[in-house]
Amino acid sequence: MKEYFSRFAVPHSEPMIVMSQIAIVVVCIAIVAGVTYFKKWGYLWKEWLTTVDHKKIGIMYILSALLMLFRGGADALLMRAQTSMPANGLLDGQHYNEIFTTHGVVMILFMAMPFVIGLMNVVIPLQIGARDVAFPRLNALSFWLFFFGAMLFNISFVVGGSPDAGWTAYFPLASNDFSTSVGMNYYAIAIQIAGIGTLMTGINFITTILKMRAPGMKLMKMPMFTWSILITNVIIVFAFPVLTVALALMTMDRLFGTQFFTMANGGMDMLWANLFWVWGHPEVYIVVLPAFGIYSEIISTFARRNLYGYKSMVYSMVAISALSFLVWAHHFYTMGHGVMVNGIFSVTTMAIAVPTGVKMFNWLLTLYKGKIEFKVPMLWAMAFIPIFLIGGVTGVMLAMASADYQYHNTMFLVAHFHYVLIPGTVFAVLAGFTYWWPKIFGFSLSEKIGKWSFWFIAISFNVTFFPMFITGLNGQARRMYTYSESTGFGPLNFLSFIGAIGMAIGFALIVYNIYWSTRYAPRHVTEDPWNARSLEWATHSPVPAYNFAITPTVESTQAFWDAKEEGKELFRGKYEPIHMPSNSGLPFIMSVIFFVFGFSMVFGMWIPAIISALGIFACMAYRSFEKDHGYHISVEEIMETEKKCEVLSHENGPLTAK
Amino acid sequence: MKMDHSLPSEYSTEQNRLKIFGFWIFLGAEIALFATLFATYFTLVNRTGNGPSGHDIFELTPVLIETIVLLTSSFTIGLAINAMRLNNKKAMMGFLVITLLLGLGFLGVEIFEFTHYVEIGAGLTVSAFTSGLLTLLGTHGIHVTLGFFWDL
Repeated sequence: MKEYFSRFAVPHSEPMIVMSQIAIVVVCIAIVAGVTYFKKWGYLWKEWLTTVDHKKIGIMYILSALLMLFRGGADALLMRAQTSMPANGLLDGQHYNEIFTTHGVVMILFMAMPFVIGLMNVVIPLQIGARDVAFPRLNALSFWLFFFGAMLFNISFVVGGSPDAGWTAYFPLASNDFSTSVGMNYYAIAIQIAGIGTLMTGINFITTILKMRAPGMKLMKMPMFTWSILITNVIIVFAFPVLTVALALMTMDRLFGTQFFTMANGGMDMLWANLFWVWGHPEVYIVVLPAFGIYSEIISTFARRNLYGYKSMVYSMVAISALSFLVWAHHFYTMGHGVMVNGIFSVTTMAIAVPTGVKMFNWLLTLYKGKIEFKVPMLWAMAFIPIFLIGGVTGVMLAMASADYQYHNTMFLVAHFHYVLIPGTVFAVLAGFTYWWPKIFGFSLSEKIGKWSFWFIAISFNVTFFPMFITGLNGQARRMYTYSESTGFGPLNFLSFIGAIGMAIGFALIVYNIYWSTRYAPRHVTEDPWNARSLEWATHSPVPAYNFAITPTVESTQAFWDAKEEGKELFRGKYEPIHMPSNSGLPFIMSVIFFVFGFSMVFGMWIPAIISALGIFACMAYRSFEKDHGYHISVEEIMETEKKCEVLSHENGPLTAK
Repeated sequence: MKMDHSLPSEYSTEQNRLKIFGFWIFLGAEIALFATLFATYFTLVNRTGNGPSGHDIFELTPVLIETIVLLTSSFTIGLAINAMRLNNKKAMMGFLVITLLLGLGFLGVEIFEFTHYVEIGAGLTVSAFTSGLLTLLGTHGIHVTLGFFWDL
């Protein structure tokens, strides 16, 4: 009995982990007790756990992403604290390895992606004038698979041990020989489960955007955010199967003794590196392209100008998406390919700077002669341009294969990709979050607290990461848990630590802003607080379940702006009963079973794994035979809802704030 | 529900049209999936370690049978859809049963093939080549199996 349970123990237990174990148990009990005490189980089940409404699913995605932001942020703070002084003893080498591994995975896969997917869930159907996504129930399944995948990954550090081979999980380090705990099993299986959800999201949103646009919205009349999301999802559909295969092969190597990435019997460790980055590089664009879309919306809204160079924006994104599949080998120039291969990948990598540069100039020309209003979302966008430029230019430096031998695996690289990903994704999702918040909830976040958090994060970001360019060029290797005083890296690393604290304060302020604004911000000030341009602002805030009472008719890329400025009629026709999909508990239940399945696989417990696999198939079979035609919202009900929304907005001023 | 009778019956409702379109995109993802598996296989094909090479173990007879069986089943399921469009339920069911039987036949030969590989010392864990080969074939086998049960 004891032997059976000993497998769940953490191999490198220390006080910090024991404290987290206790804290997690306490928080779980508190949540269950709280929900029971306030009698919210029914509400939770009916309104959230079984919902198929794209807006609510989007909110759940964003909430989970924020949660994961703090998990990944705690990892980051620990890393900076450990390296703040030479020969520091806060963490040992093993613990440090685990923390940089989970920091990478959590931030990319469980923070950046779900944040982006959350925003696209909320915004895309509204922006194209649709009632929901093409497959609402699949959408719920996507979310719950991501959520339980993320949870499975997160329990690794208290049950059985965290993955510790870096987020890239290179072989042979990630093999059974060198990663002896179950950590890398968690990596392979948790990401697999979440990845299946992401692939479904990809299919769902491509279908939604291609097939469900409002009448008149031709492809070249879609708002730029919709374009960016369409291209992102095409990348998802073609990149994620590669990850699926790579992770499956990894699972088989670790659990069933196959020889794909082994060091003997013909195995090839470099195959993993190639497969990982064939997915991994497009993945970077999966999180960056939506950011470009968000910035395009925000810059054009707050500069009060039509987006400059619409067509070139679209073509440059298409070019970036194609190139994203042709650059993967630049992640391992030093791992033994010849001059020819390195040369080709250098050229393709540098080529990406061209379409990205086109976009930069388009944004600048949109700003040119604009009446710029520096609201919080616009501040993020304005900080993005110069900071991302530094990230891009250092990227071109790294793209030169021969020079890369100098920078490779140093803090210079760490600084580079944080200079790309933080302004390119984190700033963007925070900007989008602030921008669309009033659409989702019917009130705005505080500008004042928002500005404080912006300045804290934007300044502290540079304080944290700029020193790494210098220590990196001086030779500080990444992923090293300690260094000696004689290297001279101490002072700059300490500066990084101070910056990290500043960023933590900034992120805490964002949470405080949510709390403060939820309690004190004025409600229903206006439906269109930013004087925006696209369709999502043409309906009420918060948005009724059916999105639009009458499907809008579109004639340009900025339909709502034209309606306001030129008085074009958006809503032609009359009320008709609206068909809605019914809620379903199946996605939630199926994902819980997936969680059990994953957990059993991680520990090689075959009997529960087989039983839960049968459970998953049973759910699929049930779904195939289920007859579910949804329900209709009657005309009277629509009129009543519309009236209620209108009364609220009239009490607080006209629909459009000029 | 709005029906459009100018199109084949499976396209007659909006929801079905969306589902079919979504399935095409899913097939795109499947192409990427199998392309990755093929790339893996061809990368590892000559890395046989101490195990046998393809030359030692491949036999063409079962491969030929499997190919004929699978291609025929694609044809019969096409006939089933044609029967469905013609509203001929009996013919549709007949062709579906034939398709399912052919699928079973394929799986039978494949299982035979796999046990044979294991017997002659070309099991999953022998070398990178056998891992790649059996994973590629096995993934396809799982697809046929899932398709079989979904079709039931």
